[in-house]
Amino acid sequence: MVSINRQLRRIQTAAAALGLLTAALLPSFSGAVVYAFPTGAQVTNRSIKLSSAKQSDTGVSYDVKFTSPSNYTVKGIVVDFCAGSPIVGDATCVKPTGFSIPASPTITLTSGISGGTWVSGATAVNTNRTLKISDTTGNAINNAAIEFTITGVTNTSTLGTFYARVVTYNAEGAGTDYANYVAGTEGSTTAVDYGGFALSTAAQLNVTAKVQESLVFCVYTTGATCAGATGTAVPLGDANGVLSSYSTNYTNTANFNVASNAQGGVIVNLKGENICRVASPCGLANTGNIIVPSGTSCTADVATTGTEQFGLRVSALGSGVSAASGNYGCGSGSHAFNEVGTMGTYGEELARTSGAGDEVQSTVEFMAKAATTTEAGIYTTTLSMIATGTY
Amino acid sequence: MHVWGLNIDQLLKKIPICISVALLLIGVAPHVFAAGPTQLPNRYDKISGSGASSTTSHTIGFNITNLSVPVGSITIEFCSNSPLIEDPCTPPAGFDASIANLNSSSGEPGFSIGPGSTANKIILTRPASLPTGSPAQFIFSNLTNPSSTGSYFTRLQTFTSTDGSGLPIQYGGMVFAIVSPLSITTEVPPYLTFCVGVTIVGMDCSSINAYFIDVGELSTQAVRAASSEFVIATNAANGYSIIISGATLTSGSHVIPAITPANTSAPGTSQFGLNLRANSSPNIGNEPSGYLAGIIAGSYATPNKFQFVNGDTLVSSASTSDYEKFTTSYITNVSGVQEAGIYTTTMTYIALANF
Repeated sequence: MVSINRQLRRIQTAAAALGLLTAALLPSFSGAVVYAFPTGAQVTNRSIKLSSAKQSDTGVSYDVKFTSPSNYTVKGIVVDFCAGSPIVGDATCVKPTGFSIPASPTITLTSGISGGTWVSGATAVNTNRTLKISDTTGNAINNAAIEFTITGVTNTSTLGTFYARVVTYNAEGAGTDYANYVAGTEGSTTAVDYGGFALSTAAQLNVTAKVQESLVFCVYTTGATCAGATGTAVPLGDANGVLSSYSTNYTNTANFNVASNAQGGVIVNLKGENICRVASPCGLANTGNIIVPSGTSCTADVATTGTEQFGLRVSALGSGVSAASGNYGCGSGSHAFNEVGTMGTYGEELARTSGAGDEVQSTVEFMAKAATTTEAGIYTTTLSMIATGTY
Repeated sequence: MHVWGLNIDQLLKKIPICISVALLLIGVAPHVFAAGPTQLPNRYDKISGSGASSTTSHTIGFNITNLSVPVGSITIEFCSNSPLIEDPCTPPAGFDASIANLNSSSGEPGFSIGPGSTANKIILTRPASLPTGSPAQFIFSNLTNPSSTGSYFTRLQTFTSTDGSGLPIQYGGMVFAIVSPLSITTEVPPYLTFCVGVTIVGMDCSSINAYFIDVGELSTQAVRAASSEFVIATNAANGYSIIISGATLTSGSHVIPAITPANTSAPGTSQFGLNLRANSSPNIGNEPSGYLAGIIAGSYATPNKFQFVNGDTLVSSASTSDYEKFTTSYITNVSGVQEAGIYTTTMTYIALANF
């Protein structure tokens, strides 16, 4: 009587606990029924990790993991996916809408079970709702962690929670509990350990960010960055801007900065004509009006009084900037000016960046020298720099 | 143990049921548009001039990669605030594309500037057709740059419609920059180098150490000859002139006549003259040397012929001249009736540079 009372109290306690849990977690669970039930224990440390929680997503991997507490040789495992309940023993297991395990599922074993036909014999039954894997020899385990991955699964199209149930078996042949598996009749002879899982699809978050195309470009004589850059006048000569010595190459500098996220880089072109003492004509043929350029490509400066020269070079390159090869990438003491190129519609390439980059400064050095035969006068030219980014 | 037919032991084993929760993953969708327009790669807007308010050409290039949807129009919109098609477009101040010309195109044929184009938006139109997939390039002229320096944006969109309406197929933004040009200046001062002396070493005016010529005792039997030199260099664009100023040899009221027109040396005949050539009769003088821009006046340019006229131009050039040297050869002859005396003259050379 005492024993019965204790059992009854246990029943009441258990039922109350069961009721509370059911109320809290499983409001759909309905009452106790008589059914065949696994003989072992509830699996522990159990989880099913999804590679994607997106509704209806295909090719999803399900990593099934649990610890089977019993001491036995596991020969069969059933994982059954249900829309409404994780309860092993519940005969109601509706396949989640749109859910599907491949008819010949691909299984990757991680731990606990190995070899045999665990992988090659994997099947999906119950219209691709239920996974069954087995091996005739099985693996001897005792409170062992078992983990394997099912690939190629199609997620349910329903947003929200769905469930899975796992049952392990120590026999898998014809007529066994494993072979006769039906939800709610998992077996009580060779069905060993069991457990339920809850899974969920979730809405996808759209995270967007806009990065706009950018180009920062400036040309100046004073300053270091475009923010503080000033000045566009470049006088050449002595302190008074006069080519007073016929054997001196007078130089002066200007800078250009470029910053851009153009992945194809930025090309800086130079546009303008010869330095000239009249409004026009100022072409190469008009030698009496111009200071004849050093050369169309890098040409060494000379100190002879009978030779006049005008040219420029990129004397300092910012990081990621290269000078136009052969034209303006001259070494110290050499300069060039190619009027045919600089007077083209878009000018001539002076330098370029290799790709996107932060603001960097590059320097252009201008040079002029008069000869004894250079006509007296004030010589000027206006040179533009044009930056083109390829995005 | 069974109570009321229930297997209590088995029932108790079912309590408690812990539910494991599958890990939830949050998906991230990288696209702005769920299934909408895609970007046009390799796009650029290359301008022919970067000066504010200047008239320029634009070469606009890009690749159409969606080859399955017909394209009937392409819009090119210029904005001062953003390259993003989702943002409102602020037209750049001073910018004007309303009279732009489509000079040429390649890659995607059949487009022309369509109605609906505005001061900051060009609509290219054609009957809708599938893109070729070749790199597209359109060259426009006669656009006016914005009136202020800074960065400006160009937005591209392709459409199936022929008027730029509807949902875009592909899109992309570019940037171009308006900057101030550099003003390069220098001055070449005018100069004239000119010196005269009995002898000049090379072209070095500092080497002159004598300005007096003594031809000795005049004879009716033989000519008396002497020489002097002068050097000139100038960057006068219109060249120079060298003018001789002075009188023939005189001794009080007694005069040795100047030779004019140019004539040969005639001992026994009273004559005074000069030239700027190397002579053999008498053996006096040198040819000009150096840059040789100067041209000797004809009356003084013939060897063995001499002349003197006060104020004559001896040498002139039409352009600049580096250093060059001329030698003046003087000859004096006297007749038997030439009055005795000490005959002298002062020759002044005047250099005039024509800037």
